[in-house]
Amino acid sequence: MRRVIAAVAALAMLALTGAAPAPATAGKSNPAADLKAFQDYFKTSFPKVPFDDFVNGPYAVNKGMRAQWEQIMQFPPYDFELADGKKLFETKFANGKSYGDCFPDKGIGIAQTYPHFDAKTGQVVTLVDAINACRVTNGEAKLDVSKGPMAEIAAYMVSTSHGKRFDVTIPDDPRALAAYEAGKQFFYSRRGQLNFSCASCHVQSAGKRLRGDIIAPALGLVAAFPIYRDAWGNIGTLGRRFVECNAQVRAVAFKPDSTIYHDLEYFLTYMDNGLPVTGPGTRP
Amino acid sequence: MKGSEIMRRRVASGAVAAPLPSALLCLVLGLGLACGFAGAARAAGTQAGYDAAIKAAEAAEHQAGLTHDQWTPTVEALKAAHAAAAAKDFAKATELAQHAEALAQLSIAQAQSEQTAWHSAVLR
Ligand code: HEC
Repeated sequence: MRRVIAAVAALAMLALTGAAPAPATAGKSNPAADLKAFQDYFKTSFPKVPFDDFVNGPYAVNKGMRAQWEQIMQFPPYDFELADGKKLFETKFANGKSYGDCFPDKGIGIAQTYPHFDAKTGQVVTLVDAINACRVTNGEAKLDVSKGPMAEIAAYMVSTSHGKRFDVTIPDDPRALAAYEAGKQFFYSRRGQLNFSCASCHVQSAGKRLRGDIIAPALGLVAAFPIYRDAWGNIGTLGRRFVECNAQVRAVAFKPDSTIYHDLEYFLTYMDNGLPVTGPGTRP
Repeated sequence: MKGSEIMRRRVASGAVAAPLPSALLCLVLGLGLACGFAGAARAAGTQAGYDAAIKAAEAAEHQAGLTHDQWTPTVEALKAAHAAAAAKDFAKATELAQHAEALAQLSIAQAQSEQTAWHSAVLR
């Protein structure tokens, strides 16, 4: 039995590698070159889409959806949660401090720099992490990182960065580069029983239809987060969406605040550098 | 809609650019049974047979976890195997455990192949 399985697996893998030959060996990490190639690919593939419009995901590449969306946006479905987020953000902790005390510029207009690499801990810190770290520092319990108050607070903070452009930095530190490379590898690696990578859908099939959805191009993929999704009925974080996109290819998803998703967010947000911050967004 | 249906649709509609070799389709659909595992002798219905099969399956799934590539159908097959064993249907339980092991092996092979194959997908 074992041998049969191994043989079939080997065969399948042969077919796989046969279809995608000559894997170049990993060169030196060069995020800036990756970024240029990544953005150029989408600019060339969607010549009619203005650069800034990539933040609008499926609406940027599908006219019908865009018309519907413009209707919806007359009364954005996230307005209540955004208002709640502002309230929560401004509410003092038991010790009298508030979120603003944990961030530069009192937390206003800074979301475009996340995730950032913390040279002290050697960790990638997402905005969601920073919000939870702030709570812990001030003696409060951590929040669920997928939805609810966390998504609302993050939505408010992101909204104060409107008009700014993503400006994620990958310092020349081997730990930062390793995190970036791990995120990049995850993005391009096929996984799950359906054998899809993130790139299979969001690069190769960008703009195409999958069930009722139009697949958003990978450029701008994270620029509108947190998002209100009709399918969720509320606002959710990027981690929540990563879990779904992993599960739909029949891969066991990771925890929304796992290291690998942090690395993935680091890579993807860096790829969005130069695009305007637009969250919270709304999606079907 | 089930994932395999999505895949079939995508293949039919040409949404997937690359042609899928049949062996890959086996992997993709992961229907171990459809890919020839069914030919392996029908499992004997003993507790001992099941114990050996589930041990092998769980070891393989653990290995898949170390490669950060577990599949949800493997998890489901393991769960179903445990349930069948609890109901003392060892023939069914053994078969499910063997199916789970087959899926876990495929996920390990996928992860190993992707260790290098992903490079060729990078936009450059
Ligand atoms: C089977 C195809 C498929 C795969 C594989 C896939 N996704 Fe998705 N993804 C979708 C679809 C469909 C949507 C919903 C429509 C849209 O917004 O693109 C989506 C949405 C998203 C969104 C929200 C985009 C937005 O504009 O709101 C993000 C972020 C995302 N995916 C990330 C990923 C990541 C990261 C991976 C790899 C772990 C991945 N996806 C793998 C199909 C896929």
